[in-house]
Amino acid sequence: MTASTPLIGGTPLRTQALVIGSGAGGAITAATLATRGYEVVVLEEGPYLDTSTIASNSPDAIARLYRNGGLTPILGNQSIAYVEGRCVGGSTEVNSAFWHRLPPDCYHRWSTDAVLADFSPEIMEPYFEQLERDLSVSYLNAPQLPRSSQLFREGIERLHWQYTEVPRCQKENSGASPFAPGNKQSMQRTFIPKALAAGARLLPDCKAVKLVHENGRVTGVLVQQADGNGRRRFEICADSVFVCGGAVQTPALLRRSGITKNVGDNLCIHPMIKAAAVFDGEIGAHQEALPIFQVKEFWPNITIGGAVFTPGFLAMLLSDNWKMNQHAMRDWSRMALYYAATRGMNRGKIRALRGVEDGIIVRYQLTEADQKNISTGLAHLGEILFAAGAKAVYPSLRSQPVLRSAEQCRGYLKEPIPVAAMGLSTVHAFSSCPMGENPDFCATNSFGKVTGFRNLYINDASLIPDSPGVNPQGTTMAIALRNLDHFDAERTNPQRGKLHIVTKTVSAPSILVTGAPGWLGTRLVEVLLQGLPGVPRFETPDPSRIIRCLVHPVADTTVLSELSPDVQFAPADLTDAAAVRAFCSAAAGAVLFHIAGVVHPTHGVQEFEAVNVGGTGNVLRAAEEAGVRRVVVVSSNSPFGFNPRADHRFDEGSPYHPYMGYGRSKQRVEALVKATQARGKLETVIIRPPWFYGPHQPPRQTLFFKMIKDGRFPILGDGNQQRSMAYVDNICQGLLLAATTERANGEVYWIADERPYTINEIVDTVRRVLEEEFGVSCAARCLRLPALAGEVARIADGTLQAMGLYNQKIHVLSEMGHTIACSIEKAKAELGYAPAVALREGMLASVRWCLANGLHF
Amino acid sequence: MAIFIHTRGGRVKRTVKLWRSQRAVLRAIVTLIIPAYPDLDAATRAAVEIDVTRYVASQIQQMPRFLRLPYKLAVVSFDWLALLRYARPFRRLPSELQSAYLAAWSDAPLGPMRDFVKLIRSSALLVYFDHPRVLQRLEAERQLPGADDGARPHGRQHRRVSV
Repeated sequence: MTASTPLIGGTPLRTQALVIGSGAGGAITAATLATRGYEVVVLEEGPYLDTSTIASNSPDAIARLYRNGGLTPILGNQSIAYVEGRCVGGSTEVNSAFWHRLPPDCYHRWSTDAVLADFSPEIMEPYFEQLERDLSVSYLNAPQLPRSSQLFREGIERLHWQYTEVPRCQKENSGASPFAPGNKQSMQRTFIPKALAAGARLLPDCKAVKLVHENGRVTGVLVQQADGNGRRRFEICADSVFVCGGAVQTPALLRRSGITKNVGDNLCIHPMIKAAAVFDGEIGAHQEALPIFQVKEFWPNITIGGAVFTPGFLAMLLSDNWKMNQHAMRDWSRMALYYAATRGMNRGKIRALRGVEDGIIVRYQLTEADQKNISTGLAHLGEILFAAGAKAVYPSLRSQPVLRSAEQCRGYLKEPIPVAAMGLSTVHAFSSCPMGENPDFCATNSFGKVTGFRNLYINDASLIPDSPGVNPQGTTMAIALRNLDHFDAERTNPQRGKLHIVTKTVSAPSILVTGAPGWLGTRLVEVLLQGLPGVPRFETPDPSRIIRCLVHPVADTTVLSELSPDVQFAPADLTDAAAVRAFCSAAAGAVLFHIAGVVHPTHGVQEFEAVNVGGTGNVLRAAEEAGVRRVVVVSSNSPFGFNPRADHRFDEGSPYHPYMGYGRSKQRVEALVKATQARGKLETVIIRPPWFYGPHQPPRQTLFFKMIKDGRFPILGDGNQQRSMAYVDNICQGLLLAATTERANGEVYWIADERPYTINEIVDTVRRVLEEEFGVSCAARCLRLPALAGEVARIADGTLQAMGLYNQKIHVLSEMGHTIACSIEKAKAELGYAPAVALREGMLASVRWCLANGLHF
Repeated sequence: MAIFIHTRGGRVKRTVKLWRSQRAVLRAIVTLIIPAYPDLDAATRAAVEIDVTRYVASQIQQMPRFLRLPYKLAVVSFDWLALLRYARPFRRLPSELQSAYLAAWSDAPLGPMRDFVKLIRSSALLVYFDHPRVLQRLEAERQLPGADDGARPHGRQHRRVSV
């Protein structure tokens, strides 16, 4: 079991699912998603320490595994010490691993108060059963009871109060203690290794600082990585983000990111008071298994049980009245620790301080009802302990007397303890981002999706609508599993959640297009809707066509929407297999144009593999499953590198000689297409267009015009190297022919303008178009560079890409000194392809489009 | 001062950024707080005191930044406010005056003053009594009452009730 290797500084990551936090909620989210085939990255703010090698509850463990070294205060009319884990595995590495199912009364209450949908014992029970198997939830199987528990039980039975043995997440073991290191089934022993085995990537020491979002979608997560060597920041982009940082950290992260609606306003806790009891005989509580009984007589408001014991914990409890009570330490081996936990009656708040690192304020005001419950709990705890034979009870109260009798304890029933005297702590916090459909109360929907967001989810104890009155780990994990099932169902069955197919008509599509908001894709949709001018066969559009476009979730679809109100949009990332399946749903017999791809990556060269190769694989699989008739895939000239001579032309039989990462990715894309073709379930055609130009061009092409105008466009060598170019309408003609020509099935075609152009000719044409047609004054000269500059750029490009980095200008410059030209003879012969637009006309249309769309040079 | 954290990647030095005077104040407070029980020889006690002081310092260092800075200021204030009463900072006082001054803060009417001492005391006592060398001594002093083991019943006869 290992964590992922450290990140290279500044290298951003991209993943399908980003899970923030590795505790009970995060670990099960990561494991479940990873085993279902999602690409998962897990961020954990704390370190990755093998907790089986650290003595539990030791000062060492507290310093290394607990948040703030165990010193997290909840502020209010009395400070409450809040303890939570901060390490891989979260609080499951430091807690007692108690296991409770959700009490039955919560189902009805949550369904009513929070308007929580699809939530009933019948729905939840299978999740609890599954988790209980996975976590080996069981009762203590030791040869004899811990002495502290035995005494505790004797006291309860003498009072005839109801109690229960609490099962724990523990591996059956023949050893003396079921809580020997490694026996407790924490997340490090269970779901973290399961997630890693399924391919999840775990990044310890990485804190999510902020969620970057726009238009209801998280587009990135800013992460700060800190280890012994310093700090560095980077960004992760994910299709879906699951925040599982726990009831305090989750709302703090959301609020830091400007997401505040019902976030951090409803914190619930279980305030707890402890007491130490001294008995006649030896107890040896520090050597025993954890106490196992809980008194349920006063549940749900009060739960009483045994606590972890070490001499240090005892001393800490006595420290409130140290001068008066330190003598009790001499009886430490005859003492044990117990607690009375109450169900908090108030709601606390969590606020993130702007501009202050780790600036999180947690507030909870103890109410009179809390005061009464705590006092009552301590009174009953004292009664039990004296019934069990305790000689004295030392409560965690400041300036209060030692308890010497049950009668004295019952005094707290009549006169509650002053809040200022209470030494309180809590290990349970939840409900800070409640789930449900109640808009006045809930921060998420009934399945953890944050209100107003399409790809942001919470999956931890924050979701629990109110206090269940028991340890919330079981409930948290069961709800997380339920929510993940719903998440998965939404993606595989878009009609359920109506998330992925946002359609204006639900008719089955006849045309599917990926990459539609892009340069070529937009023009293709335009051509499909309005006809292709200059090509008689396609001049008249087919009005019966129904077009569905796969658009990146953050892409601007305004232009496409304006083309026709009947275009269907499927917001999805190509790397999201489930979303791509949704895109292809109900498309039997359709033609799919797969245009989407990454040419110039913005997040490192790994995007080539993830989007071009992985995305194409997803598209082909989804198309096969959906019964799509034919897929036309847009490849590139890059798998073939450079022509060996200026008069050489690539044809369909040319061998692969891929240039850099993009070329390699497109070579693999072609291999995938050919493998799909070989399976015989899907017709495929590969189109290889070289350098595009034409309307709907991206900013980089506008820069190309501007550089020519300013005389800064670099011409390497003599400028007589040749480039095949392809005007977008010519490519559209090729795509339509590939889609409609029967014999094209299984074939590959180069599609370009009639002939290649020299670089000098290209530059000169653009210059003349700008000057003659638009009156734009251009510099007379270009930036002439020796051919060696191209070679230097090629070496630099190769070096950068080997390091996972990418620089667009260096990459483009590295290609400028070479001839990249192809023959379109096969397309002309077999498809009837006849490029209707040549360089000058195409550049004219391109510049006109730029100026019409406010793009000036 | 530095503490050493053992991680999977090996031993990592984490600097505890406290001034020398602040460390001296903490050491003096720890010396006053930790009890004479159990009996330890002088060398062991001195070594344990150093470890306890380091732990307390590391606890302060692990606080959230917005609490850490005020707490460090409180350490300085604790030291220099002694000037008003004894014309010397706390760390230069003889131990009996240090003890009286610490007691005054422990019982001060102002909550923040009490909390300042409370945090150091609870952390120091925790790590002192759970220090391996102290635990070893406690175990050695532990007097087992002879037949206790035989008095423990075997098996379980309690009832289990559902939650």
